Amino acid sequence: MKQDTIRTWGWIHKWTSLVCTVFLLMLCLTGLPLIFHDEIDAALNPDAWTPAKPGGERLDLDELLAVALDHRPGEVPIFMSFDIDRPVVNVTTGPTAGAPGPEMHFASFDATSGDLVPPADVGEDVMHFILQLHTDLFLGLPGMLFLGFMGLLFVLSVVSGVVLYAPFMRKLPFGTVRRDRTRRLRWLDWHNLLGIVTVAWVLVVGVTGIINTLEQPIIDTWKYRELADLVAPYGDQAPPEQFTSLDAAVARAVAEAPGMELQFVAFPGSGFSTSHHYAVFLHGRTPATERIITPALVDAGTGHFEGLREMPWWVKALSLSRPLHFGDYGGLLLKIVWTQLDIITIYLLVTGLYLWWKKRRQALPPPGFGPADRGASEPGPS
Amino acid sequence: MNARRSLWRVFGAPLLLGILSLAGLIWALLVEGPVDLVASLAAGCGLAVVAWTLVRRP
Repeated sequence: MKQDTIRTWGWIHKWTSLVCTVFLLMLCLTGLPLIFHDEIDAALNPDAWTPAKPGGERLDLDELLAVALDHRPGEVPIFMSFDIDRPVVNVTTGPTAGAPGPEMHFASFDATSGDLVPPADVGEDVMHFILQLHTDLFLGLPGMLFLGFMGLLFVLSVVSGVVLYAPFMRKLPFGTVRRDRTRRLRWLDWHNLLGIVTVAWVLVVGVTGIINTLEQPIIDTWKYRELADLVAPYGDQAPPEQFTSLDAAVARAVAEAPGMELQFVAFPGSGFSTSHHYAVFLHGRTPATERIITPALVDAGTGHFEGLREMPWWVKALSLSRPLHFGDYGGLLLKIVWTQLDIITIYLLVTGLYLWWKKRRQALPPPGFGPADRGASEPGPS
Repeated sequence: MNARRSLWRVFGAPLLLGILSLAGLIWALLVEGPVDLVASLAAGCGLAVVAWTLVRRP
């Protein structure tokens, strides 16, 4: 590799790393507890709840919805979701169907009796704070897009680091850590080794993180492009005043999708539906398909089944990006692996800063051409 | 040590680790049960190199 090429990649590596490091440190630190959010929630909220009628018949969804709305007079339903391992239905309501997150209210109900299920919310504020900081810096969409840009810089930093790894390692065997040399060289060797052995994971988490920051634009695009034909006939008409039976709509959707299971319902006007439809979201039953959701749309005024709308590939990519980013999909061992890799990334960020600071103070020559590094150019921030 | 290590010699081991790790990450997404353990170990194969580097004698 020519000296000019190395300088160019070194410049890219230095500046992309320096700009994003603080934010990446925050993301790595806040990401650690998020890997174990299920375990933390379970530990803080031991589930002592039992249904009123264990094994009893479930109320139909219209009854449960009516109960939920009785608890929140003046509000409208936004989402309804279903616990997997217990007969519990969760209803999200708000002043309007399009209300933002902070104005939404979430409550859980015993599907056998309609009784309120005590919220498992010990520690919820802390986890919510961490998730919000990790997701959008409490700034909503601008915060998400900003973090997405930081993620893009991070990916560039990783790619440039891989490019610079080649001239650096040309004369060194894989896995070299020169323990008998200066602290700076030792740190540099560790930086290179840890960076190159974790590069696949780092790129997966980085790229899926970028995709996740585009969630809102992706969902909006799906609605306006893929559902446009459903929305068009209604023009500017107001949503139906009387909704048809939710239970019948869900039953119809489930019947039309053999091999799929109910995941949640988005009510008319909510972020995941049109202003005139129940969007009944279903997912597959196999490990490969359970994260791919497919909405079935039912006219909320007439009950007419509009059909299943398979998500386009870019929405499926978003669905798969969530587990691949948070690492909460493969059991405890994968979570432990994820944690170790996250900690290594923190180490990489810190050593990168250290190497940049030391080099800046020592005013060493360009990477790979100074007497201290003879025969070894430096992929770390210079 | 050969002073002119080819690109393959520089990137061979990292490439194999990367492919194995990537395969493990995706495999864990597609399977359930005990085989998850194997997928998780593959995803974390880079950690084995780190551990080996830590414990080996200079």
